[in-house]
Amino acid sequence: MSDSKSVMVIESEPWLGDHYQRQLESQGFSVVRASHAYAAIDLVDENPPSAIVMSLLLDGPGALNLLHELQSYTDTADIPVIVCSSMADLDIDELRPYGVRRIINSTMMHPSDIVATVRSVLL
Amino acid sequence: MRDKLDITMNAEGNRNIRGSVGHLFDGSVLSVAAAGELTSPLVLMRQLGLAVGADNISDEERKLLSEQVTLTSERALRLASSLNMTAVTQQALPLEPVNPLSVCRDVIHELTPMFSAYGREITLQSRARVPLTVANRNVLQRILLAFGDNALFYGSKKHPIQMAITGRGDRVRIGVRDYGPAVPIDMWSQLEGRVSRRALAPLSSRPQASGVGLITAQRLAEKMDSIVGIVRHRDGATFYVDLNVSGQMSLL
Repeated sequence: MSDSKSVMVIESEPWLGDHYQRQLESQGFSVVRASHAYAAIDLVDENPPSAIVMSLLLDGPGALNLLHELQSYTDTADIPVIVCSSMADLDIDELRPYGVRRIINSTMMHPSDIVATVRSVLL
Repeated sequence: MRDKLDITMNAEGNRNIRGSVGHLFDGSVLSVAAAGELTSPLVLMRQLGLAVGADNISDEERKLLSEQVTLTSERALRLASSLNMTAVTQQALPLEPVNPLSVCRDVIHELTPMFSAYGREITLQSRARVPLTVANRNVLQRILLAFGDNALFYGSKKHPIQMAITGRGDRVRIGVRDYGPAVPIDMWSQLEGRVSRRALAPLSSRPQASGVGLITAQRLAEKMDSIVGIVRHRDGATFYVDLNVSGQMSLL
């Protein structure tokens, strides 16, 4: 199955970002990368992605600042966000108001989970 | 051991950190914090390991991924090893005259593969002749490795990480300068608070540096009667260790 939708990967750990990008591109998604919130905002403004995959631990302003910023504008508020995190105590109900649609536990995830989860939010 | 962290500002406005908060930094609490710190490289290694085993990658990609697994595991092992030393070493460590230039070269040699893999560079600035210092060579290496690992993600190709040795009277300072997000003015206090709450979060704006490595460095430095400190810059920070100059040679 091939998808032409674009996914933004926001991850400060470059090798992990590379890994997510490989998985998504291998299934036909186009991927844009950002390593911190400022870069992500610039890229979203230039070309809003179909979905965002992001870590909660980012260089510079934190992930919640970024999520809040995305929620502040009508053209970005509807972009589904998937959080990949090793933080065990994350509650989707607490993050849903920030536009987070799924949480992936990065300590347990299989590489293919990222593609499956992106597809699930784009349905 | 002191009951309170003693953070003093010297004449140059730098912050020296002496002492430690014994009840906060006991082995079990630090271990919990360390578990959080080690999660990040373990997550990365697991993902890279799974990727290596995939069918749809080229031999070149497989080789690259294998190298990344190795380097990431080495980074994690450095931290784990230092934590172990911190936890088991209760007494002051044996000291000897140590050539800081030699130690710095060894550290840079060890860090360079990791820095290169991340597209970063670490350089050494020093006079050709540097006085011997009083230190424990192994511990000094670990402190500088912790500084280097901390700086890894905050350098750029434009600004290599700089390790510098400078003489200051009867002391020698070894500093590691990075270029990245500024650290908060009360960084050390934040670190001790987070460790004590067993909720170690990344150092402000520095997700790859939650601070366990730095706390470990501080504790190790204390065991050889040296001082760890930080100089804040607008575009980064310099973490340093001040060492006493050895007077042994002057006796000859």
